[in-house]
Amino acid sequence: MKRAVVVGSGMGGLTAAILLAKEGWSVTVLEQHTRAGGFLHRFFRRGVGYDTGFHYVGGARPDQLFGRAMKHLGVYDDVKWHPLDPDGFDVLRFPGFDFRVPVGVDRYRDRLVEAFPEERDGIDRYIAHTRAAVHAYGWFNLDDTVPPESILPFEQESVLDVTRRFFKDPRLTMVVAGQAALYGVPPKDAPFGLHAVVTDHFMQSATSIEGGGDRLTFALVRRLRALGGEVKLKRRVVSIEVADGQACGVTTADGEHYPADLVVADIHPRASLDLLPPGSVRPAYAARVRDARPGLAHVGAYLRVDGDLSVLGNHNLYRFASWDPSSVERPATPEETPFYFLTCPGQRHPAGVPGADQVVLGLIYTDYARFADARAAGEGAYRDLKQAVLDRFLATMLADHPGWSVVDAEASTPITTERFNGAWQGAAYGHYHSVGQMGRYRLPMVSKVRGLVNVGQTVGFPGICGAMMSAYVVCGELTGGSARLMAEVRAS
Amino acid sequence: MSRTAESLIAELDRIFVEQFEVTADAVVPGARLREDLDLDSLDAADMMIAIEKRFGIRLDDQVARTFRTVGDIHAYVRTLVAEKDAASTDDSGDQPAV
Repeated sequence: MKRAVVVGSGMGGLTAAILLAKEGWSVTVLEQHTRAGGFLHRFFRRGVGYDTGFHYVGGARPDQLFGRAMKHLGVYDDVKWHPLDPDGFDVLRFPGFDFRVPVGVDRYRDRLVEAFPEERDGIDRYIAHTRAAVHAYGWFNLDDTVPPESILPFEQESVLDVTRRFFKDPRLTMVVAGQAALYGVPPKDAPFGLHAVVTDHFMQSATSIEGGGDRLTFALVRRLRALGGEVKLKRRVVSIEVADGQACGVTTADGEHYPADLVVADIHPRASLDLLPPGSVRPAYAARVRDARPGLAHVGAYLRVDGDLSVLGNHNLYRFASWDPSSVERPATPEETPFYFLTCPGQRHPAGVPGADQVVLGLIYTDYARFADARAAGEGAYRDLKQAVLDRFLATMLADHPGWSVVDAEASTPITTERFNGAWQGAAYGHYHSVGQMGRYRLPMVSKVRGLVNVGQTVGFPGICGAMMSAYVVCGELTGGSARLMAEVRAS
Repeated sequence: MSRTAESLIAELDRIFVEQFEVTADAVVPGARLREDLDLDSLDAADMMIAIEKRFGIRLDDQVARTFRTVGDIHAYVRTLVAEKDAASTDDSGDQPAV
């Protein structure tokens, strides 16, 4: 029996593990943390769970891509899926203006026209361009007849290039491009193809998971075990062994050796590189990986809030301090919070535990270097910066919601993310998925080391679905071509 | 002043040697990328990026896919760099070409 070791138990790693186990491989997943799931994991305070990365997913109905894949992996019925408000699953809030993003591209188009009637022609051209971009992605449509290079033109233009081409009113540009905050790349750099696929995916349906993202992790782990695979926690991989250009196993910090015919690295390719013996890859590839820019870092706010939270209801709130597209990327500091994301899982589904209905999760983008410098300056400087950024965010949030009061507030910083998720520079989405780093400049999933592949957001798309798809793409390559795997998912 | 053809080719060949671990005497115009130099499609992507970065040019994907030998790369990069030098001379004659 062929043996695979998967390094990291995020969505990409667990998906790859199940796909390989289904093909008859013996699979061991090694996770450095005390909990499986990567960004799907939750942490607990006084029995109340807080999601660290998972908020909602697109296309999870049983007849859509993510839903079909969950059925194909064998976990769909093990998770309670909760549809967000189809009439407005995301509320984009700008100064004096709310835009509610609905399910359904036609409804979205009508709502844009209603808000910006004089831009009707541009809106229709934008929607047509979006549809063309979406069709260029074969795996996204489970269509193996689409040549892979058809995505290239759509990844060479930025979201801002496209919106400025079609729209006159800069506010309309921001209403459309502001959704870039969803995947952490500002509109000036985000490839249009990425934007089209991600927004289309959510407009098919937007869904959360009752009980939090780790319910999906547990379902995936149970499924893997049923297929004979295993997940081992608190196992930090310290090296990937290579013999004659072929990966042959990994070693963990506690000295255990896991021989393998295939190593699946669900970690940043830069981290994989550091685990390989020197000279395993050509200097050109090593330089490319080391020069790659990581995605935006964030501060996560884990709150319990008193007050009327029904305004957060069955949707997410994206709040922009200004109409300036740069507000997506301008880092939160002690002086300003240019953007925040809020969601309240307890308003959507039964909380189960007392206090869980008060949980509000916040996310703001920030500057990794500033936190790293503070950390280097000492524990006090780091703690002060963390508190000051959190306080500014809370003050901004409370000014927007005067009836609320904060009962409990805890924050994670890019340094926290780096420690618990091994995420390089605390980047929640791994790679900076920009025009300059996608398309032909994308980091490859397969490597020059035979038997070593990369999965996860960095080599795929940002988000849970992007991580999952990376595993499908690479396992398609490893197990006899994508066409068969696509057909299986289509039939699921 | 634009670089000479010889120095441009020497720079290109240095990329083969330093970044792709090809021995210097194997980098000759007739050398076949795959058969003689063991450069595969993964290396091709890295090569394209290394060249673009070094010379500040953009290679056309369609053309790059037709490369078979070191000489093919020499010829195409010389053309692109010459075009770039000409454009930059038109814009501001006293600026260095690259």
